[in-house]
Amino acid sequence: MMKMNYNRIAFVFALAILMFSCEEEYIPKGNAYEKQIVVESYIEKSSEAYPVYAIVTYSLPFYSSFGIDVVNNSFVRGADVSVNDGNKTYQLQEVCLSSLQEPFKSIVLKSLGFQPDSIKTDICIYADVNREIIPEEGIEYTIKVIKDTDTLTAFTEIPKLISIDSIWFEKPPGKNQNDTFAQMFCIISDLPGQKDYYRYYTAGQEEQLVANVNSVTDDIFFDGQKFKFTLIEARGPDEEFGDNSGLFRRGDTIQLKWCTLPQSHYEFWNTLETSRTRQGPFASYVRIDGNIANGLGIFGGQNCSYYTVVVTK
Amino acid sequence: MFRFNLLINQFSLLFDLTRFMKLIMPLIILLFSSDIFSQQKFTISGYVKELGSGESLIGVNIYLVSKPSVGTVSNTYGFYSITLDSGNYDLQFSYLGYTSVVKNIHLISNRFFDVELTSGVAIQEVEVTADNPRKNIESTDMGTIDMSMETVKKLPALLGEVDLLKTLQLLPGVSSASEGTAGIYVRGGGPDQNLVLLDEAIVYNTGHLFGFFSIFNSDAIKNYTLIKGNMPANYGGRISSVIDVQMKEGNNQNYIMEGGVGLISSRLTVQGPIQKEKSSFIISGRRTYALDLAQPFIDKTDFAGTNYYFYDLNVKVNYQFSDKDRIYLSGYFGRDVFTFANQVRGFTVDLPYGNATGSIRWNHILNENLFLNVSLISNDYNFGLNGGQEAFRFGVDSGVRDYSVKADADYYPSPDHQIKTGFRYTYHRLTPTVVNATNGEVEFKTDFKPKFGHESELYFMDDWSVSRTWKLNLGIRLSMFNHVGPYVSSLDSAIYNQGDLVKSYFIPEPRIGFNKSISSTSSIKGGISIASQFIHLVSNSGSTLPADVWVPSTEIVKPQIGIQYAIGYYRNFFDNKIEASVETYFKDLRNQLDYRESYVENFSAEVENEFVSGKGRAYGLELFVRKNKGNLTGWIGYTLSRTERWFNAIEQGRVYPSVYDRPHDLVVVANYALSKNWQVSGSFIYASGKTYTPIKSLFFIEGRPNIEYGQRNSERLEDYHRLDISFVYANAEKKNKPFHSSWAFSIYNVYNRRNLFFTYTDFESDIYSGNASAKALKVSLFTIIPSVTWNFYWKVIK
Repeated sequence: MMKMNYNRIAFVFALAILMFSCEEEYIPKGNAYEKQIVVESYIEKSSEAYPVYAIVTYSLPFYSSFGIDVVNNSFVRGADVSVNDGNKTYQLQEVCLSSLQEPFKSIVLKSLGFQPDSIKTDICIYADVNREIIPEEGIEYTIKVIKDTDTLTAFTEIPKLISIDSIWFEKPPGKNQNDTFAQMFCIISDLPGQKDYYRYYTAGQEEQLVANVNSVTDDIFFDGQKFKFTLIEARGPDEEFGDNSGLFRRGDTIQLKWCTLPQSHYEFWNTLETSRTRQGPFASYVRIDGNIANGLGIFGGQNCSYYTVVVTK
Repeated sequence: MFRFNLLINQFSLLFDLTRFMKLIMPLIILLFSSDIFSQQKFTISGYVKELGSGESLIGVNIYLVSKPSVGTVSNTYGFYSITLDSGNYDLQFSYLGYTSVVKNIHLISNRFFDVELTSGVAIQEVEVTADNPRKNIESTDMGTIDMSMETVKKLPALLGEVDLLKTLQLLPGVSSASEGTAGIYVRGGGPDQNLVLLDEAIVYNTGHLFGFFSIFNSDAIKNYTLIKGNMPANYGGRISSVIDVQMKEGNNQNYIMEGGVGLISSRLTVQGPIQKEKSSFIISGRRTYALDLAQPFIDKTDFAGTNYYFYDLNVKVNYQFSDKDRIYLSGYFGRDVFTFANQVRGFTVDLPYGNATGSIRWNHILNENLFLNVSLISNDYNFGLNGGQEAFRFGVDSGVRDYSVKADADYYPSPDHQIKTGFRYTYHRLTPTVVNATNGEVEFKTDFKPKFGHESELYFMDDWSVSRTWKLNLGIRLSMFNHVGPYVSSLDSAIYNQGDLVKSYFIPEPRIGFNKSISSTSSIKGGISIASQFIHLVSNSGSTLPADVWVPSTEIVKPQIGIQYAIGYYRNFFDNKIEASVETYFKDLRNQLDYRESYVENFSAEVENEFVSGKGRAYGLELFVRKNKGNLTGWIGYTLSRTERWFNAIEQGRVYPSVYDRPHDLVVVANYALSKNWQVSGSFIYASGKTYTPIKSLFFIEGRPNIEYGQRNSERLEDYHRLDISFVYANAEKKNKPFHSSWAFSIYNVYNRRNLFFTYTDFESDIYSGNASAKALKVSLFTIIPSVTWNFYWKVIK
């Protein structure tokens, strides 16, 4: 009984010292707002690549909520968007969901990686609808976006593919050594003498592939070596971190997408993901290092391989 | 061969410095020979000590009662020397908080005697005396403030932890890094630009618990001085300020045990004679235990094994083996130890870091007006991070290790000249962040080598009373830094082997200060000082962190240069009971360092390749009014200032307010003796909010919002203000008894002001579902916090 009281006192004592802080919501000053055009476009070489597309939006001031109207109005309409592969310029066509009928609408959404059921906004994109662009390794691609007096450009290339040698599952460390969850691992053979950059995504069988909060890495520690990666199940943006986060449920079928990136594409994700997590009393801001001249965002080449595996029981 | 030559060069430099000292002394003597030989002059010298403990007293004013402008000051070791014409004199020894002593001297030959002063605390008086009441208007010192530990201990303290660095934040021109932290910015300079010395050893990391508490245990500290203005030539290596801290020597007459029990830590100090009045020791320790007390609870959770504590250990021994020779051994060892364990994940992290310093000092009185000190000093700061999960283990290490030798001579040829000269040589070893990891049989690590440097300094300084109304402080400091291999140049890929010279810098640093007396109660002081800095700490956070790495000047990283211009008006009122000053300054800062835009910590690049170099300036006006006498004491300080930086590689060279920029800073500190047993103290702070980089806009990638930041530091957080109060109870009737104790009750943030500590954003998306929202949240760290500390003192009469 005495010991119990002591524990309680100690706990309250520690809390009293450590938990003095309090927080409240506020609206940031809007003085710094300046509308800019944002480009999000990927050019991927893989067997399951989507057609080349670009989402072109305006940056928004800091609202407390983003209703459907705000989002719909953020899409840049009527822009001239083109991609050049060094030999030929390909015009991307503007496609808005509101102009499409089912089932074509769902087919387009799925082909672009969106979940049809969750889309309520009128997404407008610029896409290589006829799949004229055939992404190739080592080719430099240029994107150009012209909207009124603004011209945005960016360059990227598709690096050599470094695919996964093997994938397997092991018991998770710590107390999670039970029969329900497993830790996924893979081995890759990094190319020697050059900087390589990687990004991966995971998903359940019928789910959309999602990248983890820290999805990119370079090869500083394993240049030219066979390297064993621990692969984490990607969490959704609003999912809490729990005891089993990052682990895979035994018996499930898992999709894995593994990509090599050029440096500029890696830098973009490295700074963006750091920016998202860089919060707290000792943190300083990180400016996201995009490659869009005269605007924000990314035009990123990538060379990817896809895997479907069953988590061993 | 080249390496050997460099070694020879270094030793040659040392030899030259020693030879220079030998040469310069006769020259100095010749220079002032007219003073010496024109009349019959004799010298009075000795040590000033505290009665009852034998502690030497630093900065005691010694002056003629009949002519207070003729005098001197005891040095860091309590030594004084004054040369006067033969005759009869009343010589007064005055020191803040001590009873003054007047010695009548019939001077017909050189005299050497020690003087003992009685502490006001020991005779139960609140404030016995002031210093030389006109010291502030007569000296050439600018922006220099001494503060007794007695004053520090009376002031309110966060969680009852008395902290001298936080007390410094209450002075004009000094501001805190952030709420509750002990990190300080002085006149717009960064935390790494403060020279922090503990018994002459440089302290590289002054904070525990991410800077919330300083490493200085108040029970082990005797005295400290802040120099924020014109840095005298005997200090160097940093461009902003000097915080010179001296540890107690240990009571050489009685055994004393003292300590305290507080909410988060306890302290214990033991001191006493080894050989009475010849040698003494002091051992002082402090340790936190808040999470130790919580261990029984933590052990029942999935975080069993998690703990945090810090501790300090100060040790000092001194031995006087003749009237002219004394040796001191002193050391400090402190560590923060953080252990995190997640049993569910089988994941552990150990994060130990801390300083260790040591110094051996030999005092020698060459003759009655020439005092010599030779020191051997080492210091070490190490940061480590080790952890892992099953077969995966990782470790991160970084740190600084210095070995120094220095010699300083204080020469007092006449009351009109006080000369200091000396040299210092330091061998630096700076370890960058080295990462190693193993995963089963696979091992990988970064291959960055430590960087090495030789830093040498030679200085000469004369505090010269030119006439009855003019005083000059003339100084020159010659600083040299040699960066040596191993090193691989990122400019031309040249490979330097161990000891090969990579880059050499030589910087002369002239310092000049003046004092023009206007009247018996006022003067004007001014000065220009140039200082350089070869060792740098660039933090990628709003405050310095334990993991931040010190880097040397190399072919890429140029030495920082600071040029400070200052002028001020000093005036005393009401028969010197109140002293007041107005100081204005302008600092020209060159080769300032910061991380490049979009820098993300990574272990794949030499950190110096991630720096950008730029310029800065700081300017301001400081008002200071202080009352040292009476039942009510305290001060009011106000600072109006700006601090700016600009880098070509950041926002195309736009001039932006530094993170240290605080346009307005007001501090009011007061202490009042309510009765013989009770004292109340209060401090009020009002300061402009910190600058921050605002959100310019949000943009969406993969359906999630991201922040585009606006111009750097172009917005400011809410103003900061806070009132703290403390009550100290000590039974006056028991103060002279062998055992007595006191209680300190402190209330931090009395009116519960929610000062901003940091802000963050929280997003909920998916944007395409039409349900996205964004929140900006501001966090206040410390609301009202009461605390209580019990302190005791136990004297064993031997």
